[in-house]
Amino acid sequence: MDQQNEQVKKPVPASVKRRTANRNRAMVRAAVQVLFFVTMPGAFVAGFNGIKYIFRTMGAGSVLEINSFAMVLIGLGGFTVLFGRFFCGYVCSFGALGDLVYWLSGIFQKKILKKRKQLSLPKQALPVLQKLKYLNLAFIVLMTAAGLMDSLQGTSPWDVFSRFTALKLPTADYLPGIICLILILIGMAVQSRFFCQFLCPLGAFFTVLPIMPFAVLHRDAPNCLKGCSACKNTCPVGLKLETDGIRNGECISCGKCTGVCPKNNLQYPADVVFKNEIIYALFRAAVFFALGVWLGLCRFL
Amino acid sequence: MKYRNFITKVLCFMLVFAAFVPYQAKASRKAEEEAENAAEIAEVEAANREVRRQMADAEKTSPYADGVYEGTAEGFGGPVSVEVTIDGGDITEIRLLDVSGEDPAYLMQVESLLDRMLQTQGVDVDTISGATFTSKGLINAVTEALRKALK
Repeated sequence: MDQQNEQVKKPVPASVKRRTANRNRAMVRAAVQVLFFVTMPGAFVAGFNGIKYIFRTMGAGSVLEINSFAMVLIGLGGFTVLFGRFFCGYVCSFGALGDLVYWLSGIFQKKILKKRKQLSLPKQALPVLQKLKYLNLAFIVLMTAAGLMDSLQGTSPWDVFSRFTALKLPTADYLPGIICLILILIGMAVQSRFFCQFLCPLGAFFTVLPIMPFAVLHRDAPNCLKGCSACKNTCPVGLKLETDGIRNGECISCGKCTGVCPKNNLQYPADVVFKNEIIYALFRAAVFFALGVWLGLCRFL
Repeated sequence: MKYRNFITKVLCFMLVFAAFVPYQAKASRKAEEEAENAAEIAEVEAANREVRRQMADAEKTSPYADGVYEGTAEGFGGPVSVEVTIDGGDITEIRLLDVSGEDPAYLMQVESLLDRMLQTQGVDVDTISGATFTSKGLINAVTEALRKALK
């Protein structure tokens, strides 16, 4: 009987602790994505409408006013300058859709097709393809300034997606948009954050914003294990975290790299205040939720 | 240096904002001229309306019966309903009743639509760019209310 009292609890290995913490981080992120998907699915459309408003107004030579579209753009831009592309990594419903499709595609490929590694585009192609979204932004901006956007009515996959999130079916005049959306969904199944990296015009705008240094992920490079590439292998936007430094505008602040590093070398400066990733993520989510309600993005409040 | 990337982006943004200042000045001047023109046109339109109103009062030719009418139509995220008040044959008030399916950001944009419908005493107004479905919903709802008001 005394033997049972003398049994000492085995200490949990650091790797198990890390994996549990990473799984918790991933679940919190998924929960936040679901929350914003349900309450503010139209946030990116409203933000991009702000960009279109500016160019439509300038194309017509009218006075620029700080109306609700402009406010949403200023709000999203200001939030991104202060907190990084948290919007992209946690809030944007299209980004969440991309994460969901890629994750389901991975499960399908591994469990049903019995593939060892999930299909994805070659890593060398990513930096080139990532420039395409600037062309998309330029095209839409020029068309808007020229007042020609009405001729593209029905082509936007975002409008089709917005109809679905408003629990409505798109009508027949949305056919080009529906086809675009289907092609994008296929892309999302073969590459993580397919739309975000290659096509998103709002994302293109975010990459050029000057994000405050205190909001940027830092890597304690001298402390890294030799030959380890856990962080760059898990990054959904293909950042070469060793050479790029995480000041690269492509970083969507998803935090996957922080969860997978065996030496806990990737940290936000804010972690000094918030102690861990999850609390910092929840803080940013709360701030954005308040901002979104104030800007009129939440359909329920 | 460490913050080179950040400082470069900040400088670029400052340049972009600097370009907005002369644009706004030029656009303001153009808007002032247009406002003067619009004021003259509004005076003429008001005089026309007064003449028409006197003719209508004399012959009671307004198509609408006095009263309060509700209209509903499909907006972007659900049905929208409005309340239209007819007094003396004219549309005197248009109120939003239920717009719970619309995002507040778009509603703020279409508030001017209601004023314009009052000014023109009808539904022949342009939709607001960027808020097409919300605009159409409101216009169709007012149309439905006016249909009920027909004598």
